[in-house]
Amino acid sequence: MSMLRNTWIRAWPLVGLVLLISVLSALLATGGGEVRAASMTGLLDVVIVIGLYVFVGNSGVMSFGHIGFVAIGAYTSALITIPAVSKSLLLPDLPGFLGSIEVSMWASFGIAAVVAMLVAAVLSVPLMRLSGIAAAIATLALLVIVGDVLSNYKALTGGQGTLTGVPTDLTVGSAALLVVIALAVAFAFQMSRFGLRLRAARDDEVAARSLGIAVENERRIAFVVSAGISGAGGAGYAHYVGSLAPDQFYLQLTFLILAMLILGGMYSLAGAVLGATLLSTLSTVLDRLEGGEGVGPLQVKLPANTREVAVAVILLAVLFLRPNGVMGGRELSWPRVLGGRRPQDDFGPPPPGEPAGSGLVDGDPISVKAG
Amino acid sequence: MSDVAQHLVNAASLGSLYALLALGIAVIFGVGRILNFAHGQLITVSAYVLLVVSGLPWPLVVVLTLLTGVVLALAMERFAFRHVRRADPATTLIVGFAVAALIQEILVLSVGARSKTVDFATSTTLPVDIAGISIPRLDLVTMGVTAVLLIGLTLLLTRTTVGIQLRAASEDFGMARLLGVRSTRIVATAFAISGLLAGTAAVLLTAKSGTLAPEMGTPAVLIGFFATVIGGMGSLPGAAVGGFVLGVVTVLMQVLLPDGLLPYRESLLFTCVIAMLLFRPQGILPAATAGQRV
Repeated sequence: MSMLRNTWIRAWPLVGLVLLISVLSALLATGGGEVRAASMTGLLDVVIVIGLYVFVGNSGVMSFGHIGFVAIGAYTSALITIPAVSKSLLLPDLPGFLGSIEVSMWASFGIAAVVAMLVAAVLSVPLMRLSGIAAAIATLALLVIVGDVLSNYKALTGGQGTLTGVPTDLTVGSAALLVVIALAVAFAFQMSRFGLRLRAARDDEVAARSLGIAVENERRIAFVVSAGISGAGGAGYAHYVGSLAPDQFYLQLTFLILAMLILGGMYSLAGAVLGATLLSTLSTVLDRLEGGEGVGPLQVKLPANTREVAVAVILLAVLFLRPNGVMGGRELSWPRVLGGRRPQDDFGPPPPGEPAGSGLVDGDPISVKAG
Repeated sequence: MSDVAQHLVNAASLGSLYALLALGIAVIFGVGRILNFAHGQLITVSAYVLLVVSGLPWPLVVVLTLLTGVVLALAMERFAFRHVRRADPATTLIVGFAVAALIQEILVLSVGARSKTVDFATSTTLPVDIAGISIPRLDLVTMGVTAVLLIGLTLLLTRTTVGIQLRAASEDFGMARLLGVRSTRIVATAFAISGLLAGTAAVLLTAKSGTLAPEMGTPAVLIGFFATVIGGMGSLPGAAVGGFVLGVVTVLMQVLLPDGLLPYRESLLFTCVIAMLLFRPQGILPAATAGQRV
């Protein structure tokens, strides 16, 4: 009995989030068309933020390139689900089998994830040779390259114009299922030996290396797993909006997704989910107000770009006041009324003032110079 | 033969411009371990100020543009980066990202998203003939300004107290503080220098293209970032060399690539960057302190 209970408590960070997402989606799915659309956007944001979190949260290395994987997933999924008849009109020069292939939505999610993972596997070889901060910059190169190829490879993507005709068959239920799968993969990864080794290296790289952890390889594994989740999120996005353009997947989305992760707290899965939910809601509300559509009793018209300014201001406020985000690196803990312990910092962020990667620590030269 | 010389001049000119961008990033990273993504917005805002004052005599225009860069850079340091002085580089990178987004959106709100043309120093794009090669004057100006700034920066860093303090702080920030270097002032100085470089880049970029857009700073800051990475993070000579290499490779690709591949030259350039890092992850001229002490 107590063993079962312990397993239950150990899995609670996952189970709690799954329950939260399921209940929330079930409630929202009963709403009108606009509510359903907003909740699908929110759920897809959660998937994409989880994808980013699996790499950034576990490794402590920032990435600006994950929207590239989202784009790869979205376009991959679009190319294999747009009906062959429309494809022959939209993209007459499609190479080989791509012109005739037609798969189901869920099959396309899987294929999109695999394609993104393959690209990530190849790219991770050079990228993860770099020190943390240089790697973060190099991931920006990845974003630029993906954007450039999408806008110029007309035969495959339709170029800078919009690629239309993706079946919009995503429902709130299937979006929620995608979130649950992403949650399960992310949780399994961070509890696995790979995840634990990577977190050890994040908190103290020197100590981790001295224990024989090959930090670069651990980062590569996380990079590939997170690219898979991001790719699947992109595929979901394609089946939600139905039309894709290269500039949907550039710095603006990168910034929004990063802000979500940091708002919630980039060192825990609960933080990723919470940040994405909060900021996605706010972003939808502001978007509607900018369009003059109003939200419930709130009928004000905001100037264009209010949303972007608000996101930037919120992000700065979080970074200055609570740099570890709302969750501060904690996972959901078993409710204390049911006999749970105080929240633990098992998966907490590195102590303040001690950077995750190597670097000069102000006022603490000894720790840097040691060895 | 003159073709080759022409391309060499182009390469040197673009390389100089890229070196300027890279130096602006590197001077702050070297001292404060801050990668300032908002460096691009320093350039953009300076360029818009140039547009506003472009009716004045040109020396005044240049001075005002440079001053904008310096003042805005100091303001960024004071109101954003100083709050996260003790944070790790990843956090400061995000702060820069947020500041960049904020400035850019405010700019779009106030001047609109459309690009504008500016009538400034148009005569400098006219070519002069030197030894049978026609060189746009602006290319000469760009190279000259970069050379002067490089020499000035080198003198500042090696001959003045402030410069020596800057170098000490970039070698070992904690030790420099223990020896009495005032950390706040030295970081602010680095930002001021970076602002000056951004203002200079704004003048040269605007004179070159004659157009302004709110997003013009982003490609510039990307070039600066990649140049510092391939040059070696934290090393000023490395940044200059990295910028120069990027410029030369860009021109080489414009000349040598077949037409079909030309649209992809940016991708190919950055692929080259990533490929180069495979062989030399520490960069071309790594800083002495950049190595991991494990």
